[in-house]
Amino acid sequence: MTDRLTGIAVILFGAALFFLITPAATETVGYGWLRPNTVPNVMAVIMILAGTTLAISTPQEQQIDFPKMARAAGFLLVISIGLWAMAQWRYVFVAPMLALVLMVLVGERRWPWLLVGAVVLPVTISFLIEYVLERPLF
Amino acid sequence: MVDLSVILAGFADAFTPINLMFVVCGVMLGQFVGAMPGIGPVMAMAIAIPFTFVIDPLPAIAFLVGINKGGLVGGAVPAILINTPGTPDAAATAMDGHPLAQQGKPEKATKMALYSSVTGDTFSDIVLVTISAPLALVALKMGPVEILALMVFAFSVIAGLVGKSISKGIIAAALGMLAATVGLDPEHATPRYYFGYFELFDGLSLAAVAIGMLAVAEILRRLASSKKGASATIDQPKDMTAADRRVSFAEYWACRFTMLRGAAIGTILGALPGVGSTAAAFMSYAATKKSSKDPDSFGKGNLQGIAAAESANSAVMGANLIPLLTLGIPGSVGAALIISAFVIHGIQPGPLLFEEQGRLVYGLFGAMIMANFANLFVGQLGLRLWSFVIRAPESVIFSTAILLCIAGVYLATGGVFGVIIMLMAAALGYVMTSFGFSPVIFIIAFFLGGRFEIALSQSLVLLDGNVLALINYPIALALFAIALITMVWMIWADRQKEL
Amino acid sequence: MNRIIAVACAAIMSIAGPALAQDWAPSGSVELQIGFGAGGETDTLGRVIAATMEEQTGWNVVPQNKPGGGGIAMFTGLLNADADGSVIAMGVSMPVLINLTLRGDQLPFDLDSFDYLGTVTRAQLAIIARDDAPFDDIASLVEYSKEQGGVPVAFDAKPQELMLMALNEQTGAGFKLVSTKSSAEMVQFVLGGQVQASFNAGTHIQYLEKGDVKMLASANADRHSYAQDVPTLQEQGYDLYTDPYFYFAAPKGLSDDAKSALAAALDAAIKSDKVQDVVTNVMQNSTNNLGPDGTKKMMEDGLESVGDLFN
Repeated sequence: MTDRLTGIAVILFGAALFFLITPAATETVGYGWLRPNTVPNVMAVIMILAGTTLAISTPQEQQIDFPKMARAAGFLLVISIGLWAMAQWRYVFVAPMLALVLMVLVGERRWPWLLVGAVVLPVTISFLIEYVLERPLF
Repeated sequence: MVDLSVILAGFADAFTPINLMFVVCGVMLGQFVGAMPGIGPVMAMAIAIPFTFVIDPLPAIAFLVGINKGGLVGGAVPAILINTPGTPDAAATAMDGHPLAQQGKPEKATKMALYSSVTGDTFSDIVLVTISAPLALVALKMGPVEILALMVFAFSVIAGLVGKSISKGIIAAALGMLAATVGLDPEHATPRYYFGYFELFDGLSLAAVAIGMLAVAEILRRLASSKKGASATIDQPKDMTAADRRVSFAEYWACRFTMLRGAAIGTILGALPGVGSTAAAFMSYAATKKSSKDPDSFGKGNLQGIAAAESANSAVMGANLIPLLTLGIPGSVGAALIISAFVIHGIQPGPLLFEEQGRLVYGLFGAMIMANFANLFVGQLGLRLWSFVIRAPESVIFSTAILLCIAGVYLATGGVFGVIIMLMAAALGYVMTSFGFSPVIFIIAFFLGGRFEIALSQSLVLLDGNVLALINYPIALALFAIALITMVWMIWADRQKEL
Repeated sequence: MNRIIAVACAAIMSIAGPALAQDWAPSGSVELQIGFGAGGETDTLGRVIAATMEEQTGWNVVPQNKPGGGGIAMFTGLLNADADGSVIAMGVSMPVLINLTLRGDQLPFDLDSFDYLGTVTRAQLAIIARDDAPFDDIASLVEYSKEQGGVPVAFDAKPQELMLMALNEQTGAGFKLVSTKSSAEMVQFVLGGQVQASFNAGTHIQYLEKGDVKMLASANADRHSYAQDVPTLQEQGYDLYTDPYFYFAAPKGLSDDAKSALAAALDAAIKSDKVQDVVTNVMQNSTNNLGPDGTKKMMEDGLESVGDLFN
């Protein structure tokens, strides 16, 4: 069942690409063999065809761990917020916080390891990059 | 050709304690930086170049070569130990390296990677030192049409890795190819899919997408599945025998044909600018798997798989210097950085290099040979360090890894934009894996896609869009034919297996 | 390690030439943005200039790559930077001018959005062919192409493509336009016989010395320093040329003090032996700083001539 729905999603994406996205996001050129939209259109057609095959063929057994995917999405959200914060208040201040939050979220409670992961390592990374290598970081 | 006295003088220049020191320092730095997820040898070289302004040309270049070669070995370490390859060529190493590490044999896996990497590297160095001039002439004959045919052939071999569902493999490849079309189109330089973000004019950053899909997606997976009171990253049982920790000579020798094939594939693709080490690593891996008597053992910790990938991707590096030194054409970003080190020291790589700077070139060759030995010795010590490091709990390893990925991609792409691309690629990679689509196929198509579209555009112009004109390109015709045979043979072989 | 430090000190001391009297100094470090990725010729040039400026002025000058669209991404970002002299940017004129001409309505900036500080040098663009080719200048290349029913010619940037299209239109040469990614790739195609002629911005010079390729024309407004006997396209009767400059700009609204101090610091760096050497090695050219006003005029004139190419 998952495969059928995935196949249909791929078909819809391919169609949207062909009819909506590519015409809007590429320029039209009046000469040459390979136009800007040639390869994207070929890929769209391939996706529609392969999506159709996927949707109509016998589905393979597949288990998708949705709770785990939700947890991964949660971690991605945390990291994204961390990135946003870094852009506001510099890497050197935010990186230890981000590391601490991630470690606590995965259940780390031993304070020596928290100290290593959330203080020693992040500070070392930013010190090496910003002071030893003199590369600006955020 | 170059005088023997020049060759000897060059080697004599190379084998001095000060150069050895620079090579060893470079190798150590390269292995260390290469092993940091998100930060690779290319970035290490880019950062090191300004420091080489103030030293003589030979030690400067020896240092950079050391970093590059050390980085090739180091890059395999995170791929094997925590399944987070920073570059796609190391993704091929992860396919068997990580399963072997999970079986409690991380040292065996990394050592096999070290030995096969040095073997492939040495092979291509020997080719470089001995026959680079004639090989460069052959490479000149490989125009756009031939390169196009070669890429089609590479695709046909790599297609053997597509996995259970052919249609899912095709969809992943089409998506990767589509991602490669973001940015200016190769023929008319019009922007595509940039949605108002001018950073996208140059396309999606290879580093951001590769690190996002391969490393960050895996880190997310590990974070999401970690259990409370997290344990060591890899369990290394106490009762391991010495044989589980090392690679015996018999095991190494059993991989000799695999490594030879990998080194040959890597050398050939490395001598041709633009195809690259990712294609080499996966071609070698796919060929080894297909020709094995026991293809099902691949992906489960087969030493042959590690040897195939590492010998090929390391051989590319030495061979990249063939077009660089003979024609002044860089075959990769690493090679381009070596060019800029040359020009900063007032040396222009090109057809006159051997005549005008013969002594320096042979000095460079000497440094490369030293770097291979240094890799072996530094690696022996360094790998012990890494197998110790991964006894740290997962919580520390993966939170540090994500910080490194963010910092690395920020530096590589020059801003937050690249890091956002990395996180989006990570989300896509995670979802694709969950629904049974291979991110590795996506990445290969993405890496080769840009080059493929250029070659296709150039070929269509040269052929006037007329397929029959291919008759004037015998090498290309032969490659297309081999590609076709490969595909038919693989489909036939699959059928046989099913019956 | 001691030796490196000793060498480094010696190098710095030999370079630290004119002590610049400054009325103005940056409050922190100066970020020198480079509109291209690491490892290219623009990157090399920018880094050497940053290092030289740092040595000469004592300011902390930090090079930072901002790749994207030949400088478009960098200049877009520069719009939001503070105009206090803490950020300067190095770009190449042609991609900016082309994008302003082709899709100026989509870009958030125009030429007036920035203050200009100076130029480093001009890229020398040649048209080359293999030494054994049966033609020696553009007219005979055009004739040959007509005889053969159109020969492939390689280019790697928009102005070159436009020049070839203009040549096709003016002469009916019927050149087949092969798009490539770099000068190195074009030399490879010329030597390998895949194209009959190509543009080139420097990689060809060694081959010229060695006698593997010959130069058919200079595609700049002037002849090239290393090949004074080869006439320009204009001299050969085709009114086409392109002059891509490497130039420096800063966010609009710099104070006069800051602007003149930065321009002077750049000028001193560009005049230094080290930068001269790198320009000679990388571009086979000498440095050429047009100064703040000259740079502005160069950009404005360039925009006009690029507009002409498209019409």
